[in-house]
Formats: sequence, C-alpha cells, structure tokens
Amino acid sequence: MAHFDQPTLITIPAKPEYVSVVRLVVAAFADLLDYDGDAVEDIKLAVSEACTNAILHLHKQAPPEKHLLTMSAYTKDEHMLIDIIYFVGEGADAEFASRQLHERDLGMSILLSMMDRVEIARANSDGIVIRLTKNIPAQHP
Amino acid sequence: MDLKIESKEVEGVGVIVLEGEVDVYTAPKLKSRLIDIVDEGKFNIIIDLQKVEFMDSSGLGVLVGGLKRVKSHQGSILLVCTQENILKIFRITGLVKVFPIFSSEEEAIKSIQGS
Repeated sequence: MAHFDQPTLITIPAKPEYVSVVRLVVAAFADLLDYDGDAVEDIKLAVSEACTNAILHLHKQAPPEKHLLTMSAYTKDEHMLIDIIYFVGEGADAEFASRQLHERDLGMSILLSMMDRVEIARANSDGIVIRLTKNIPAQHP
Repeated sequence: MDLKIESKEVEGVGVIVLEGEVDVYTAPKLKSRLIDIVDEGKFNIIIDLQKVEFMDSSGLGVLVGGLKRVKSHQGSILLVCTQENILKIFRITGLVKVFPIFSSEEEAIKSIQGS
C-alpha cells in the first residue's frame, strides 16, 4: 500500500464557489491510493458535506477576515485521513459545529455513510477540525 | 463545474433539465428556478437529473423544499435519474421513498398523466 503521510494541503476562501476545487484535489489524492471509482465519488461527496458545514459555521460565527478553510489529506496506517480545518476566532465552539452538522440531517446521513469515521474537535483555541477517516482497501496480490 | 438549468413544458407538465454539479454554490440557482416555476402555476414538475454529475445534500435540500412548495398546491415532483452515484444519495437519505424516480422523461410524464 502506498503511503502519503506528508499532508497534501489546499487552502481556499470559505465561499461556496470554491468547494468544487477541494473536491477535485481530494479526488486526485484518493486516486493515488487503491480506491475504486465509487469510493472516490464517496470521498468527494463527504468532503463536499464537510466543507459546506465549515462554510455555514464560518458565516454564522466568524468575522469575514477569518473566512478561509484548509483541507489536509494524508495517510496513517491503513487509513486515509482528511482534515477540514477552519478558524472561527477565540472560543471556537466544536459543539456548535457538531450540532450544526447534526441539524443538517441529510448532510450528516451522507457523511456517516461515506466515511468510516467522522470527528469534530477544536484545533488550538480558535479553530475547528472536521476529521474524516476512510479505510484504504487492502491491495490484492 | 457550474450547473446548467433548462426548463420547458412537455404536454402541460413543467420539466427542469439539470446538467453539471449541484452543491452549496449552485443549489440556490436551482431553488430560484423551482420557485419561479411554481409561481407560474406549474405544480407537477419533472426534474431530469440524467446529466447531473455530482449532487450533495444542498441539492437534496432544495428538492425537498420544492416538494413542500408543490404539495401545498396538491402537486408533485418526479425525478428522472439512472446514474448509480446520484441514486445512491437518495437511497442513503431515504428520499427514494419521498420522490418517485423514473428512468426517462416519457415514463415520468405518463405517470403524471395517469394519476
């Protein structure tokens, strides 16, 4: 199995029109691993949902100058990890991000179906990270 | 990729044909077109998703909102879709039970005319 433990990063303005750029990057990264076409589509969908949640959160809670989000994709053991990281300012509220995601029922159903694990946590004191984990399929001999 | 939206009338039924990606950026455009069509008095609407390459929950949300709107006028929204990657999100979210899904516009039109 190929290892890409050094993160591939992209930072975008947290605006709806840039989400398709993140989808393209994550699809290219997933192609480097052993995922089939369907799994790559699932990963794109999950990342789209996570970015949408981040954008909605930023526009509700953060001042405009903070409206950036970063996607970091890397491998760890047999997993691909995708972190969607954004900064809302002092007192970043991971609970708010989590609650908002659960309120977006359709988005949450999709996210949980597409990925093996979804976690939301604080990153430092002013950031939020939505971490998506997907197992990398074992290579056939 | 952007979203192209074409609307037409076929045998008295409003048909919206989508091409491209439906996400947080493009979904408002679809919402606006759906509202316009309902405002024109068309309450039975077919939405053709055959050329949609990507759709996430932002698109699903607009479809559900549109359905609520037409239901208040005893109308319906029927979908045309055969692509597995799009059908999958309707299955995951349980929306296959909410939207009748057909494999062609003709079949969807027949269903409206027969009801």
